[in-house]
This record gives sequence, C-alpha cells and structure tokens, in this order.
Amino acid sequence: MIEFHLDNHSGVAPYLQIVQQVKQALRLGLLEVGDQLPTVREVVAQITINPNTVMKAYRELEREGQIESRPGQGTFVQRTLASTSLSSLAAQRRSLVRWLHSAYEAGLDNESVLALFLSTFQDTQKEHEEETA
Amino acid sequence: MSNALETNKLSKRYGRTWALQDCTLNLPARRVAALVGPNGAGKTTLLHLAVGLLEPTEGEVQVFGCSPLRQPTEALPRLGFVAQDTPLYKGFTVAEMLTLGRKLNPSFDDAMALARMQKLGIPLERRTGKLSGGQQAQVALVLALAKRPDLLLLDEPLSSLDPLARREFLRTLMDAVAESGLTVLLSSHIIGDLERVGDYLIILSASHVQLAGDIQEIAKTHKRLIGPRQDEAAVASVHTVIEASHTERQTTLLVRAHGPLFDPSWEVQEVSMEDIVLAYLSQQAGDRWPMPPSVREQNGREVFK
Amino acid sequence: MTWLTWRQHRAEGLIVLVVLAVIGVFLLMTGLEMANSFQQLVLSNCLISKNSSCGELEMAFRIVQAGPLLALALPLLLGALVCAPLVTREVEQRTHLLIWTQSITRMRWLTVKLALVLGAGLLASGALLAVLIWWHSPVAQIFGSFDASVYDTSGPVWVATALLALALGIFAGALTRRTVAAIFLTMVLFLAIRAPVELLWRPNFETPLTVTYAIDQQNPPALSNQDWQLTSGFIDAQGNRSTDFRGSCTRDETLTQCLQANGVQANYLTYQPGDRFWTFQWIETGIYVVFSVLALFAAVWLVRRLN
Repeated sequence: MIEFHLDNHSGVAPYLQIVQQVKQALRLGLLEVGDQLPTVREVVAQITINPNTVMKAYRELEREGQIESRPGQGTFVQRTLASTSLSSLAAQRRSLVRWLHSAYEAGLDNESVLALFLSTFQDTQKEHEEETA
Repeated sequence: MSNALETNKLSKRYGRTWALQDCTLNLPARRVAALVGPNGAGKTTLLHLAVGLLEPTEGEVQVFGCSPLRQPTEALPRLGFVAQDTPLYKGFTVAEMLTLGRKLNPSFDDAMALARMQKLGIPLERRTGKLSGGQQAQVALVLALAKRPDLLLLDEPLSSLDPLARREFLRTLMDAVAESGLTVLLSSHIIGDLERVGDYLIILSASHVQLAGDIQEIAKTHKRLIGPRQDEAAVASVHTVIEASHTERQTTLLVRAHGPLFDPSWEVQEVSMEDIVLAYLSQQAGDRWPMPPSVREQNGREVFK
Repeated sequence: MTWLTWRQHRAEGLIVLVVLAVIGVFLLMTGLEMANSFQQLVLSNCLISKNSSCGELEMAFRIVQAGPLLALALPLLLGALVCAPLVTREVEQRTHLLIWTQSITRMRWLTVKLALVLGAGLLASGALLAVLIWWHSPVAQIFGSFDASVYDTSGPVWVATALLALALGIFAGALTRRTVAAIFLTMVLFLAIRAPVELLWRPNFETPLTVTYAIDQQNPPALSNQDWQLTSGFIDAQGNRSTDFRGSCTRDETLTQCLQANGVQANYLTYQPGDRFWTFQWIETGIYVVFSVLALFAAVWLVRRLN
C-alpha cells in the first residue's frame, strides 16, 4: 500500500501534497487500477495529519476521476494517469540532456543551472495552469 | 449544523486588567482549530470561558447553542477539556482515573478508553504521578476523549512534551477526529505543527482576536509583495497591509488581499502560515491594521468563512 | 461522586477512624476505672448537695479534665485538617480544572462532598457523644452536668460544636483557597465564636437566680449538686451588688464587724438551677447550628463564584 509523507516546509498545502503523491505513485506504476488506498485513519496513523485534509485530498482525486470511494469497502484507484510511462518520456529526457550540456558549455555552474531551471519552471507552470484552468 | 463555539463580544476582566476583550468568534463544527498567541494573550481565559470555569465580564459564549455556565447539564457532557499541564489526581492509578470518568460522565466509553490505553502501552495499575509527562498527557487526553465530546478544548497540551511525545499525542488526537468527527480547539504558543494538524486558525494577541478563519482561505489571501522601494499607501488603499519593511532599494509588504493583485511592479509570493502568524503577533498591542476604505464600506467585520 | 469522595479522602478517613478508635479505647479503660471508683468511694450526701468534703473526689476523677480538651481539640483538628483542604487541595493542585469539566455540575460536586463529609462527622461525633456521656457520668452525678469538665460533652452541644468546626473549615477553604491560610482561619474563627459564647453568653442564656444570705453566715446555703454557681458577692444598704470587697479590715475586727463597718448588708450568690441544663444545651446548640449554616451557605456561594 502507498505510504505518504508530509513536508512541513515545502510551502505546498498538505492536501495538495497527498494529491501529488497519489498521482506520482500512479505515474510510477506503484498504484494500479483496482488498488486500495489507505483509509483516512490509516493515513492519520502513518503521518500525523488532520483527517479533514486527507478527505479533502481524496475528494479532489475523486473529482478528477482518479479514484472512487465505495461505501463500506474503501477507496480504490479507478483510472491511471493518461498515457505516459517513463520509457515513453525518452524523447523529453534526451532533449533535457542536450539542454544541460549546452548550459554547461555556456559556463553555468550547477547552482546557476538549477536556479535557471526552477525560475523558468515556476513561471511556465503558472502560465500553464492559467491556460488549463 | 450549529457552530461548535460561538462568542459574541466576549470579555473578561480581572481587577483592572482585561484578559480578553471584545472576542467574537464562530468556529464551525468538525474543524481542528489552532488558537495561537504569546503567553498572556488570553488563550487560557478564552478556553476557561468556553467550558464554564469562568464567568464573562461582558459578552457571551455558547457551545452548540448552550451557555456552558448557565446550562451546565446540557453543555458539559458535550465538552471535553484538557487543562494546561494536564492535571490529574497524582495518587490515583490509571484504572482509578478511568473509574472517575465512568462515575462522573454518563456517556463514558470505557471500552474505548481501555483500548486506547492498551494501544499506547500505559500500565493501568501505575499511579498517574509515576507516569512520564507524555504518558500523563495521553491519560488526560484519553479521559477527555472517552467522554465522547462533540467539542474538545485543549490548553497548551504540547508545551511541556518532548518532540516524540508531542507527535504521539497529536496522533491520538487526529485518530479520534478521524473516528468521530470531533471538533477540536487547541491552544499553543508553538506554531510548528499548525498547517499539518489544523484547518482553522485563531490568532490571539494582547487580549484581542487578530485573525480568525480557515487556514486555506488565509493562505490564499495573504501574500508577500516585493518591489522597489516605495510608500505602501497605494497598496494600503486596496489591501490591508499587515507588515511593511523597507531597505534602501526594496520594499517588502505582507498583505491581506481584498481583491486581485495585478500590479506588475510587485512580485507576489506565497507566505508560510508561520510567517503570517508571526506578522500578526509582532505588532504592538493596540495596533489595528487600518482597513482600506473600500473594504470598510462593505462589511463591518472581517471574518473568513 | 460518592466513590470519588471516598477515594479522594480515604487516607484522612482512615486516620480519623484510627484516632477515634484510640480515643475510644482510652475512654473505655479510664471510664471503667472511674465507674469502679464511683462505686467504692462515693458518699451518699455528695449526690444531693454540694459539699466541701466531696472535693477530694475530684482527685479520683481528675482524668475527666481531659474531656473539655477533647471536646474542643478534636472538632477543631477535624475542621482544620480535613475540611479546609476539601476545597483548597483541589484548587492548589489544579484538579478543579479536571473535575469541574466532567459532566457533573460544580454544585453537585460540592453538595455531595459536603453531605458525605458532614454526615460522617455528625455520625462519628454522635457516637462519641454516647461514649463520653457514659464515661463521665460519675462526675456528672457528683458535680452536676453544668460542671465545666462535662458540660461540653453531655449533650447536643458537642455534636453542634463538631458541625461548627467542620463548616468553618469548609468556609475557610473556600475563602482562602490556600491550605495553610485556611487551617489558621478555621482555628481563629472557631475560637472567636466559641469563646464568647461559652464565657459570656452561656451563663446568661436565662437570667440567673439569686440567693441572698446573712453576712454572719459563713457558709453559703447549699445548692443542689446539679446547680451551676456563677458569682457571689456583697449587697449594700442601697441594694447595689459588688463582687469585690472594696473596704479594708482592721486586725481586731471580726469578719462580720468588718463587713458591717464597710456598709455590707448581705451576701448573695447567683446560680443557674440544674433543671435548666437541657434548655441551655439546646440554646447553645442552636447558636452553633446557625453559625454553621451561615458558614456553609457562604462556602457554597464562594465556590460557585470561584474564578
């Protein structure tokens, strides 16, 4: 069964962290269709967290159609995330490697590479969210 | 569903000092609320007023629609309380404390209490005075939970516990919330585990409520604005400026937004709950943030639903 | 709540039982001795009137002097050491924050505690009273029930005294909320009420009777041995009374001549007749009961307002 963890200092709301971790598990194939998610009480026992937060996260995932709660039985995975397994991301991975090489050749050190990536990522992420909202 | 806790201009004075002033709150049911503030801010006073241990000087307090002082037979069975430093009868064994709970509370769930004690590994035949601080806190908590209250109030239950004991205490508490949909109001002067455990926040400072609301809403509406050095008046006319600091080149503002922030000259950042709480607490006593004129006209009180 | 009261105070309860048992044994042993002496020593005329030769019997029954000590010390200690901590210990250890937020109301908590503690106190003092009455009956028969050594333990006054001490203890505890202060306050209040009632008021519950007799009569007229002599003195020609002799005597006057020369016309003495004993007991009981009720009401009001 999936095990959650909570990062107090990530700046991301706890319920979003749960949602993201479920999605990550789906992406990596750790969760498959039909698998049961831990009950709210089980999550609370793992990571001391507000049960309302867990319920909110599960509701969000249910709204997006990833999971389904069956009364009296539990919460189950209904649908994995569309398409991609990691292997099909090979093309993305190759262009990322190319970019990294060009960044190093341009004289950036590790920290600059990371800073550049993160700031571009955050800006693009915001635009992307606004477009898909 | 009626509010778990409602206060209306609740005030308490000792001699000439006001311990709590003009406190108006509406805590919805099924929330886990954190009451934060420095020592002496009035947290204990508020909690004691809510359980009928104190009589208000002005204003009123209601728990699920009942006054705890005037209607104790209706209110007390629905309330659970763990006082600061979890007082217990030190000469009683744990089993005797459970007997106490059973004799004094008609709705006491003996089986649940025993099950929890067993799960926590607390020996029933040991005197409570001989337990560790963390175990004593757990006994007090289980005693309050076994009463099956609808609203549980805790006065600084974590401040004298080591980090492990603190985590275990919260785990028991969260499990009880998951099991029964209990409403919790927990006071603390440590801000740490706030966002993890709480979904409602009340900030008390200098005997006044500075802020009260849903943690999600608070996080959404409080932002940090960073921009070139300038006067904050323009911003303050639209949003409430909680904290302002200026360096030679830069101005940083922590604002409570009353509308969209779309001035491109400011960089907008998220603010952690800890920083929000600290900003409210670091103001001097008596400071009130001037509400922008536009907001003042809209509503008499600012409360986050 | 009954269980809680017992469990919380069982240590004191057991100590009190042990103390009472020890006292009981003491009373039993000395009481049997006195009963014995009474059989052997008493002269029949000591049982009718106060006779100076009966004074030697006081030696035989001197153990009875312990009675008044017991009569005051025991209730006082119980009031101070058992009742005062009833409220103060709860507040000092902050367990009132626990106990007043269970499902019973503060008033119910207090009334059950009071009922149990006072009930036990009254029961114990009533039982002890029966033993005490048996214990000092020789002295009561010889020297009268009004005698200082037996009056306090001869009737309802003793139970009322116990009640007073307990009630004052609870009141002091509710007022001061500090154990040490409450103990002191209990003692002070108890003595402040007891002393004036016993010393000033008791002799005058009803107007004393007066007997006058001639100045040359050496011995005052005999009172019955149940009567309580209060004062004695001199009456002058105008009918004024004084207990002191304010004149002076020369060496060759007889007492009679001296008194006459200083204007004394007659002797007098005042006393309370023995048949008033029960009236006096009930009046004094009533006084202590009134104070006790006041103290208890005040205690209840204080606990209700405790902040």
